[in-house]
Amino acid sequence: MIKQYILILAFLISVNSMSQNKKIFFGFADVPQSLLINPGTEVDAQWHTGIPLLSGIYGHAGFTGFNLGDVFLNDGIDVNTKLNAVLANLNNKDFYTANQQLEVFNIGLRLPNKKDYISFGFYQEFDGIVYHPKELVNLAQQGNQDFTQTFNLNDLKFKMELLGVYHFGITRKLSDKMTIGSRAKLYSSVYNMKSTKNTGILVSRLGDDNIYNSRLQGVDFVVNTSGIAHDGHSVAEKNAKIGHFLGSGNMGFGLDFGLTYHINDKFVISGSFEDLGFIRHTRQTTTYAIKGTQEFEGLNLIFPTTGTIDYLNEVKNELPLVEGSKKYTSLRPLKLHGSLAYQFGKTKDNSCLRTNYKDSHKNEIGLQLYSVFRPRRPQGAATVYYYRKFAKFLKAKMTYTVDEYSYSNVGLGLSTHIGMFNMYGSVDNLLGVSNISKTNNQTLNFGMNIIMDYNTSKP
Amino acid sequence: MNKLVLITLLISLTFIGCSSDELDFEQANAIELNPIAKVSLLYFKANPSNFIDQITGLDTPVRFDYSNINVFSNEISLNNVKKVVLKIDIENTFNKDFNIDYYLIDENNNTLDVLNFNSIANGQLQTEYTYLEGSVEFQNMVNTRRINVIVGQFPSTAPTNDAMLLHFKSAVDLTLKFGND
Repeated sequence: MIKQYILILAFLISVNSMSQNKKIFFGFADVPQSLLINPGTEVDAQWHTGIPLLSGIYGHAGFTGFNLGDVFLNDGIDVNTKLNAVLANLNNKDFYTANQQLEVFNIGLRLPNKKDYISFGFYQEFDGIVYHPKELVNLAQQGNQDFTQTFNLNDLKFKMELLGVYHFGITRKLSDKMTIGSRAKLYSSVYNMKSTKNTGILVSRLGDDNIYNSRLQGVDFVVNTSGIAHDGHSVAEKNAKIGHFLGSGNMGFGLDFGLTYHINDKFVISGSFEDLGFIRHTRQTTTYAIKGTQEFEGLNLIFPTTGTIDYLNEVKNELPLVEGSKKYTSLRPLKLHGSLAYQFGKTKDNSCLRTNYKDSHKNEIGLQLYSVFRPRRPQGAATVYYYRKFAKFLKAKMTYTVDEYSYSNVGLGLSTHIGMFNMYGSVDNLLGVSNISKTNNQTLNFGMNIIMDYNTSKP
Repeated sequence: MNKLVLITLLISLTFIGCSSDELDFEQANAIELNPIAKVSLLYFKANPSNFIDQITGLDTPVRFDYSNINVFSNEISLNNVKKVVLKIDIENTFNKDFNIDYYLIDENNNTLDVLNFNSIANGQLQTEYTYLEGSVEFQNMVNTRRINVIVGQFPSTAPTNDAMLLHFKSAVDLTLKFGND
């Protein structure tokens, strides 16, 4: 079983197809999906439609604190020795994360006023993060034999969700300098599980009444679940509930907002936030909670003169464990993007029909900042990039990113246009792709669209 | 057409990753965890009044009690326990001897094993029993779902007082193994 999990993780990490960082497409106006990152992107199209189910395929998996090679390098050292060394270096701020999106459809249309571009669609998303529960992993490794140790439940933080997202956005060009956009999202949660605010410790010591004393001390531990994993459903029932992508009853609402502003002919700033929203879980909810302090020194026989006592059941009943159904709210992981760009190198293509201010430049360099809010703390990244329009049919963006995974993350994004057909993709963590043993994260992004832009439509 | 070839080539290049033969994921088969769980079982503290029958008021030479246990009744302990160390700690401050019988009972109420502690005199007795996977005693231990305890006191005319105590403790250290099957 351990091997299966590891192989799945390794597969996700070592995906050698189009792996990319979604940040690469921030401001990449040639790709309509950039509107999902910043609805204020200066799109240059009359209309677009994604190829259904192929317009946006995105996957990311990663972890911090070690690389695959630290455990699986074929170096003759016992794997348990290597694993123990890795686990000793990890702390409770390290995390394992995965995010996946599949666009079902994505359509955009410029309104007759020429200023407004509406876009809408539906995509499925999985998002999960598990923080490394340092002290609980120690418990799993060693058991409770070391009576000098305590095991902190605060180390246990995780959140995972599977949902469908309906979205509708509008992008408005306010002037040659300023474009703003907003997107409304309706979330339909298929499955959600979270446990993010736990306190208390587990302690084992020598006892007084019996040989050992095990204690839950000051515990406030809660796990909330909702959706198809709810107990009591057969596999067939769960399959039937795939319709929950479309409308589960556990619904939520979110908002994206973004803008692009040309300071002058050379400098552009842009920024956006994604998924400022929540989901209210009211159906098929299960809550597991442990609250309070409880000691266990064994089962105390009292030799009753008459009758018998169910000692085991008495101890079970004393456990501060509560299982029930409770409505709860989960916040979506809010993402923030910001960038400052410098554009240079005039293009010959300066048609008056073009609405895109940026298209008059061939090159762009810039700095991007990114942050996503996670249960323990926000995760950030800083990217410098170079964007170049090689030809009408080929645009590229090279990035260098410093983030929690690595200080040497080089990425490349490409977008091609052949007539109305657009295909895009990108590779992030190029150094990791070429040397998987040094890899701890990888992403995949790929998509195809039909785009009618002004050049294409020009008579 | 040339454009198409160029674009296809460029896109294909980005699909091609470098495989690495430096990594050996088969090593995952060798990963194992060997935690030790220390769990208390039954205990009792008996003073002279515990040997007085509350109905008849007479001194009772033998007392009996039992409890179900669930230490070995879940999948983890059934499949992953490799070694059991049963620890018994008895302290007798009476001025007379006791016998204690510790019965291991399975789910069908069959007696699997009996540990007899005979003639426990004033003082302290600490005993450990180590059962390794594969032995009959180990199997008896992991099949235990109930423990019966019989305490018998030896006849004595020596005076007693309420401070006297027969304190019995029992616990297990379970060595578990996960992975590397």
